[in-house]
Order: sequence, then structure tokens, then C-alpha cells
Amino acid sequence: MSSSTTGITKQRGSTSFDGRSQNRVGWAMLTPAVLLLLVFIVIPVVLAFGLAFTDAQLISTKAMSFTGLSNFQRLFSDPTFWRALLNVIVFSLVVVPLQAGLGLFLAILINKKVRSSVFFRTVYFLPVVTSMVVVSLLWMFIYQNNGMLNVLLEKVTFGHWTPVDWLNDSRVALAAIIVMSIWQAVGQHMLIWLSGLQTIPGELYEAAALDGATGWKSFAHVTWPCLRSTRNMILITITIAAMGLFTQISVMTQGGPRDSTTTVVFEAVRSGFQQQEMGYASAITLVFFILILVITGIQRYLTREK
Amino acid sequence: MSLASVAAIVTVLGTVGCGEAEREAAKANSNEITLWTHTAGFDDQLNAVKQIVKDYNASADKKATVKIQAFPQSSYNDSVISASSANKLPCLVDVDQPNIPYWASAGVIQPLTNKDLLSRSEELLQSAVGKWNDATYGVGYTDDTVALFARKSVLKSLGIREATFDQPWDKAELMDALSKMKSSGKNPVTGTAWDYPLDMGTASSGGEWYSYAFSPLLQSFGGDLINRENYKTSQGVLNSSKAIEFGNWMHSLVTDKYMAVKGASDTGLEFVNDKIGLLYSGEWTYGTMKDNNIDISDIAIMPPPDLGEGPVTAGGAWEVAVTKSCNNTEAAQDYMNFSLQDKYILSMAGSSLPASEAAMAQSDLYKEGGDLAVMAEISKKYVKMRPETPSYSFISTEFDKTISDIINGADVKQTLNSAVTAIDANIQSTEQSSSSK
Repeated sequence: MSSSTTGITKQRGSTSFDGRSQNRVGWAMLTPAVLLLLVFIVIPVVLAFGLAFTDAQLISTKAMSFTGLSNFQRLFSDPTFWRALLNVIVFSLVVVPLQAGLGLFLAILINKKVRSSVFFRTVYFLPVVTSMVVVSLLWMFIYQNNGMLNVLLEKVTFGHWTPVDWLNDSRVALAAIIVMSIWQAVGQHMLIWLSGLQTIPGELYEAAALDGATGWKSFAHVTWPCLRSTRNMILITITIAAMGLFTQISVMTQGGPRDSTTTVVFEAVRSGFQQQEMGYASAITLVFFILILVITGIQRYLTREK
Repeated sequence: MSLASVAAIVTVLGTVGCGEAEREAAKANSNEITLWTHTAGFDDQLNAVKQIVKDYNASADKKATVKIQAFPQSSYNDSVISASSANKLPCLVDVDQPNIPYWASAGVIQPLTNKDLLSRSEELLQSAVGKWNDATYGVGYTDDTVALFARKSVLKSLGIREATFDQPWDKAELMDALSKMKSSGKNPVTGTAWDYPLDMGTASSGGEWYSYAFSPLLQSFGGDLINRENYKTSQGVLNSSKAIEFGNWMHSLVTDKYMAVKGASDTGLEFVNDKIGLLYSGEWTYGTMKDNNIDISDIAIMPPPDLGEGPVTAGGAWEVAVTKSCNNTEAAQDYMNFSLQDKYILSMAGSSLPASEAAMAQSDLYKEGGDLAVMAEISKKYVKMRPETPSYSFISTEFDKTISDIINGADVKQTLNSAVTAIDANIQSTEQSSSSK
């Protein structure tokens, strides 16, 4: 990022493109991004943190008043919030390892220079470029009582299967959403793994083969260590995405049945836009922000350069 | 410093100066007013609105030229709220009747003052006039209401009395009808198998339907959404013993397999396709029946059941109101008055209830002996409006979630209690703020 002048011995006058003007060009290139980030990210975030301590409503004639920590008191005494938190944690704990593992598995499968690999790459990647809303609607049909999944299970078990209403049964609704979420996003992480795999120099594998390493050994001692930075990135991106689960819930279950699929972001959106309680919604997002910060901090610490 | 002004500052920061010029232009050009309508996608209604506007713009004594901007219903309210925060509202907006108090107290809309318009509003169905704090804010062309639909041939064959306007079913009769339908399991006349005896639209959670359709049943039990003496609390009404009875009854309909936790997304179509015996829905399903060539003379339209405190039915539909930021209220109200002529009410109605007696008398569906005449009777006699309070939209979302949890098997008493706690907290914060204006 910084155009440091250390180690560059500048010859006076040999170039008009000295450090200062380089700096200027750099800033000029940064400006649009910085402005956009400021207007659409930084200011709203700062506002939200401020609003969390007020009783602001979405539209109202009243003057906003400072209510101190009362939003947080209400939040921490609300069983729905704790349930949302639990759901998000369960979702993340299941999705992060499964999605990362499956993505790596698929990436290794198609990391062969065979003709069909492009075809499979495309197939696995299709759900990623499809809108999540569309995918959610499709899976709603799949999960229906008389939907594809139940019919299929009935056929396979020769009629011994009693149909389950996947999304309306509080015991399986979250599991159903986990499965479709993994299916939808696994292609994206497969691609990231793939790009990681392709940066590993072939010589390493050749050397390993000379030393007599077979498939599993070469994976454990060459592939896995070389994927370290890819691994860290995937871990953090999946965690953040999983914690922010919202679209599927909004389309498929609205948090039901009986809060079994509600999430922190869904509760925030519901409070802020359906119930107009912007102050309370901001308090939820503030708690969520701190939570994400702590979790990614721990992850960074655990995966740091030793 | 209100949230709206903060949002406005941010908007101004983000879009420097843009909007100011537009507002200046609008001031200079107040002989042109805009009407926002929620009817994009509802061609019949939208065309009716377009026709009214066309006629008004062509009339000799118009006070301004009216332009239309149509929005899809699902995003309409959000559009108004955002436009209100950004101070970009048009002169005339559609507003759903239960939102009137909230929008009025939040300064989105203003009371009507035009004498002709007010006297015209006296002549309309009172459930089609939006009032709050003794001022009239909105007038509607139509109203909707809910009823029970069944096939006369089925009732007869199963030995169930057809409920009439004067003699609705009581709870025992309703449960008897449901159990007879359940043990039959199919339409006894045609032999088509039913999925369930009843559908009340349980699939439509997350919107206004649960509050619109199920709060009348709660009221018929003797509970309510809010204490109507003072509109300050739900304590002792939404969690009364009657309300708990209602909750248990709703849940029992599911556990006894009388209805699905999540029924069909289009219940009218489900009824037409003979997948259920009894339908609890609005008069708009008539259109579905007509489109599918159902023999209407075989359809029994029955008032909602008397679950203890007499039948209660829902009321209140979309209305038109003048925004507070409107700079030509005279023209806006003149247009509203013009648009409330009987012929226009009739053109807007479709299968809904026309809002004036004269229009009803001219309507094929609602005139004496018309297919839906009984719907008008049901509405006039049994209607109970959703609570007229700025907190209504909060109450509605809370009630929606409560009922959804209850039919999914949550503890009735506990769920109702937590709804009361949340609603009361919201009313309190709204109250405090309105008094500290």
C-alpha cells in the first residue's frame, strides 16, 4: 500500500514521478472507494452505534431520547434473542467445517487436467451465481410435505417413509436450512480452494513422489501445509457469512416454527423495519458486531504465524 | 433530533444538493400533484385509478393536474416510509386503514378539511373511513371482509346446518361440522379426497393476514389485541383467560388435524380444487371461484362463527390520504372528492364491497339478491376494526408471531404473556415520546 521511499535511492530530476506525486496519485485513486465506504459503511455503522442507546423509531414526530442501556437490558432478557444466538452458533459450527471440507474435496476432485473438469466446475458453481432468494424458493418446494424430497424418500423406502414437513417442524427446520445453505455456497469455496491448489508448485509433488509419498501422504505433507493462507481466508469468510445468516430465513421460515430458525440478523431486521424500533434493532446489530469481532479475533490468533 | 432528520442529513451528505432543486421546482409547479398507488400488478384496480385520473384531468374545473405513480403492494409501505424520511412524498398516498393512526401521528399524512369531501365521507361505509383522534385522514372506495365458505351440497350430504346471516354457527356447531368433514375425509358428493376439512390461510404468516383474520376470532372468544377503553395496554385482554382459551382452540385445530400448520398459499384455489371442505377467507375468493367456473349457487357464504361473544369480522382496506408535505391540499382534496363518485367507487370495487350505499345498489354482486350481498350484511353487522393506535403495526407483527408460535405448539399462556410485555413496552415508549414532543 504505502509507497515507502526506503531502499529507493532517488536520482534528483531523473524522474518527475517522485514519491510525493506517487502519493498523490495513490490518494486520488483511493478517494472514490474511501468516499463510498464512508457514506455507505462508516457513517451508517457509527449512526447505528449511537442509535443503540436511544428509543429511535423508523418514522416518528417525536424527539429521540437517550435511554442508556435499556435496549440492552431488554435484549438480554428476551428469550428469542438467546434462541437466535444459539441457532447462529449451531449453524456456524456445522456449516464451517462441512462447507470448507466439502469445498476442498470437490476442489481436489476437479483439480485434474481432464476434459470434463470445466463442466463439473460449472455445475458445482451454478448455485453460487443463482440468487439466494431463488434458491430458497426452489428448496421450499423441495422440502414441502408433498415435495420432491419426501416423494423421493418414499420411493426409495418403498412407501415406508412418512413425509416430514421439513420447514414446519421445529426439530428439523434448522437442519433443512443448513443442508440447502451448504449446497448453495460450496461451489464458491471450491473455487477459492482450487485457486489455492493451483499455486502449489508441481516440483514439490515430484519431490514428494521421489521420496515415495503416496496420495494421502503427499496431501498431508505437501497440499495441506501449502494451503495455509487459503485455509485461513476460507475459515473467516465462511464464519462471517454463516453468522450473518438471513436471506434463507426471511424467505423460507420467517424464524419459525417457534423461533427454531430465527437468527440475530433476522431479529434485527424484523425489529427495525417491521416493528419500526430502530433503537432496539441497532442494539442487536451492535451486539452482533462485537460478537463477530471477538470470534474473528480468536480465529486470527489461532491461525497466526507461529 | 429525530431519526428522520438524521437520515435526511445523511441523504443530503450523500447526494449534495440534489433534491433541493427538485423541491423548488415542485413549489413552482404546484398545479401538478402526484398520486402514489399500491396497485401495480393489480390491473383492474390500476386501470380504474387511471380512468379516474384521466377524467379528472379532462374536467373543466380541475384544480391541478394529477399524475400517477404505481408501486407493487409488497414494497409500497417501505417506499412511503423511506420517502417520508427523505422528505420526498407526493401529495396523495394510498394508505392501508390500520396504518392511519401511525402515519398520522408520525406526520406523514394530515387531516382532511374540505367540507364537501367530509360530508361525502359521512355517506360511506364507516369501515372505509380512516379516523384518528376525531379527525378524518383517509377515505376508501371499498372495504373487504371475511366469512366462511362451503359447498351447500356437501353440508347437506353430511347433515350440517348451513349457517345464515341471522343464525351463525356457534362453537359447538362449528366443531361438529369440522368433525363430520374430517370423518368423511372427502367431498361426499363428488368423492374427491380432501387434504384437510378447513383452511384459514395459515400459510400467510409474516404479513397482515394473521392479525386481520385471526384477531376477530380472538374477539369472538372475548379477548382482544388491546384494551379498548384507553388503548394503553394489552394486559388482561390479550392474555386473559378468554384469550388463552382462543389460543388453545387454535392449536387444537392443528393437533386434531382439522387444518394444516401451513395450508395452501392460495386458499381460494385450494377450495375451488376441492381439497378442503371449509374455507375461512375474504370476499376476493369469489373472483377465483368465478374464474374457475364454480357453480356459485352451490356456494354457501356464512358469517364467521359465534365463539362466545357473537361473530366478529374484519374490516378496513386501502384508502387515499393527503400527505403533510403536500403544497396544494386544496387540489388534492378536490381530486379525492371527485374520485368518490359512485360510478368510480363501482369501477374500483371488483369483488370488494363498494364503500357507498348507492354504489352497492348498482353493483351486480352486492345489490339485493346479488351473489355477495350477504358479505355486505356481514360487514355492516359484525365488523370490528383493528385497534386504532399508532402502535398498531407493532401489535400486528407481534400478534402474527404469537399465533404462528401457538399453532406450532408453543406454550399458549407464556407466548401470550410475552406478547403483552412487548406490546406494552412499545406503547409506553410511543406514549412517552408523543407527550414529550
